[in-house]
Amino acid sequence: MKVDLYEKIWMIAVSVMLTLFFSVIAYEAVAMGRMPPSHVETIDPRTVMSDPRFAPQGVRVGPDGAVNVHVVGLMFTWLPGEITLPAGRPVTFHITSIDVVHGYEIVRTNAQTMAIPGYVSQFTTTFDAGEYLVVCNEYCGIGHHTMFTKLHVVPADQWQAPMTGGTPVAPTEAPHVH
Amino acid sequence: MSTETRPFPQSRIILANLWVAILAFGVAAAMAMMQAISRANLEVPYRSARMYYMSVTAHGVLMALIFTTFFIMGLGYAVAQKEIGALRSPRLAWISWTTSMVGLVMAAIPIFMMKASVLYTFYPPLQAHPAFYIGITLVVVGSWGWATEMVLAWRESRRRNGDHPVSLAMHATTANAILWLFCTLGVAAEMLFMLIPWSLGWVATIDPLLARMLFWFTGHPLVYFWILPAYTLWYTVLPKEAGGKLFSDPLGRMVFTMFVVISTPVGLHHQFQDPGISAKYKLLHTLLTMVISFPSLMTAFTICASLEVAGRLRGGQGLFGWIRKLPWGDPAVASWLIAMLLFLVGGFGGAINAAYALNSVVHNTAWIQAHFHLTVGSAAALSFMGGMYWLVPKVSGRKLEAVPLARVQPWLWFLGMVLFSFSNHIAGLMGVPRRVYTTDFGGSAVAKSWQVLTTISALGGVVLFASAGLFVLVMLATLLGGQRGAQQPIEWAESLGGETTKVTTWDKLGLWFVVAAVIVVVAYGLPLYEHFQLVRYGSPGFKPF
Amino acid sequence: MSEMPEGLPKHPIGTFAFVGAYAICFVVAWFAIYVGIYLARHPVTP
Repeated sequence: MKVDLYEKIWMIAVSVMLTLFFSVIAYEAVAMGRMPPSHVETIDPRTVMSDPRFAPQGVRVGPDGAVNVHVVGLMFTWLPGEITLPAGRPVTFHITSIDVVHGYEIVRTNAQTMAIPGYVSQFTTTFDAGEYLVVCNEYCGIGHHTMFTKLHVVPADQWQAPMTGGTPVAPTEAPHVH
Repeated sequence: MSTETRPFPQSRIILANLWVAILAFGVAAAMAMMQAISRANLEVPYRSARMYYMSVTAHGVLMALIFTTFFIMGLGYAVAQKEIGALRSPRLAWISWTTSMVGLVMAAIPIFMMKASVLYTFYPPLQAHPAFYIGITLVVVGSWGWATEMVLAWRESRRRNGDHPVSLAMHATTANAILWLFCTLGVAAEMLFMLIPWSLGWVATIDPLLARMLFWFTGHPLVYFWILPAYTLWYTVLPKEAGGKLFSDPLGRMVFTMFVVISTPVGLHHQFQDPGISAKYKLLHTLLTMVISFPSLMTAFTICASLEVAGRLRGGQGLFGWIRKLPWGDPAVASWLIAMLLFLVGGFGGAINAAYALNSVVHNTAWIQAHFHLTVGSAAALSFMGGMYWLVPKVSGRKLEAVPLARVQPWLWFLGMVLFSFSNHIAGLMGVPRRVYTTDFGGSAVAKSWQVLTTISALGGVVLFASAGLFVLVMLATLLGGQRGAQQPIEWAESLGGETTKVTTWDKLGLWFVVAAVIVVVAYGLPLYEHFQLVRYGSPGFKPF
Repeated sequence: MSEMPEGLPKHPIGTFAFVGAYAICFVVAWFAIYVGIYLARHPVTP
């Protein structure tokens, strides 16, 4: 096939551009561990509220000082509602839904994930001090636009760690049981 | 002149499909205006959350499934009749149309009765009335009949013409039909094995993540199902209507074949934020998504070059003088040119959406609404409208009515889209979520910062509604009152190299379909296999509407 | 394809300039969002 010289140059330029984008993306993923939240863990949505992974909801600090947040989404709120976190320290979120699909979005941050019943979502990030609106960004019914809460982030030295214990390790998957 | 020697021996099947497209578009556009205003926290009559979410469902289904599919089918029947004269099986064409119509009615009734406010993505465990799912399934099944008809026409053309390839338009249409038959397997499986039995109560629970994977198996190639007919018009009609020639026919064939190969194994880029799917598969789909940007970027050059030929032949001088010389006053040409301009921004947005971790900045925000209103809502929809300005007079024999309105309509669309997409792109980057009745969020400070943008978006919605109204008016006036005459034949654009006379590798759609299937087996087979290794817990249905 | 019609430039220079400008804007805007918004915010890891 004969291709016009200028179109050939264009095809090369475009290939370079797309390769450039993918290289940046792949580098970030492989070398810096930044990727979309892709935690693979299942949970029975019927027993979430009594599962040690999500009962109680809220902030937990492990013996190593790791800060974990356990959130349950349901129509039309995020439990446990408003929480307070320390600025500048990594926080790991564990999120699930007990009814329909929701989207946990911390406005003005890179942090968001879907909350799908039967599955546990997880991501880790750090916050600057301030107040963050947390919305649901996946349509979940007639109250979808009312499903929001707030994250309060205070300087680390002013943060009161909660009394509850650490985050339990996820149970190992039983093979092929449905 | 006997039926068999008219340009369109079966014109009624073409018009039957286009009628449904036009009417669905009109209803959907009215609902859209209400939504845009509501999101800006402004009052409209009948405003309520129940009404809003029903309206979003209706707008999505009518625009993204009905308007598009029926137009694509109508255009396809026109292309096929230009290629081989009478269709191989007019009966199949009418069975297809009827099946899809029955499906449309079956889905529309529960939607408007507020029993199916699940949006056009219908993610479980949100559960609609079973008639909704059965209806949509029938719409798709009907379209399979259309796709089969296209393949039959392609084969007949090849049979008659030996080593001479089919026209570029037939090649593009057939590529699209093959793509469609293949990719709809995902949503068909979701419907037949999951949603319909579950909504009927035959099975108690459903796996929402598997449903999403099957939906997006179809959901991404769906956008190529929409864009390929727009590209067909840009490659095979626009160059001639603009007064020029297609810059390269062989490159055009390659582009359409590439879409057959790569359209489907990219769907995980709609599920970047989903748990339960390993990051490595999301990265693989990111790579494939970058690959599929390539044929569209090539199209930009080829079509632009074709327009440059046209503009220069019309007297354009200098580097860009040819742009002004294009026939901007022709409603169809203006529609296509404006559609392409808007697509430049929409395509860029896609490169952000597809960028893996970067996706978390935009997923499920207003950015997404901006993105797809530029792509399906402009590149496809506006091209379809232009396609109807061009095709309806030819097929119906009626002269285009209210031409001044038709001339203004694409420009109003441009204005409305600029307002809508500009404001929603920025709003999305500022975190405004999508599909929300109102953006007040309890009077939160950050939500207040969004008010200006959502108001501009509402204004854009009003302008778009006006444009949509003009389009429907022109079509009704033409089809019901246009001056009657004879059908006019389609004349495809000529290409610079002359007619392509030999079949090449890119014409062998059957072969490339096999390649496509192999890639999909890897790109989807692996994540699906891993998914089935999980201990999974199903969900019952919920009807919070 | 074959050559551009008689009397026209040998290659589509206007197109080349137009798509070239588009590609430059594309790359600039992509990195503007990537660096200016995404990298400027705190990273998120699995």
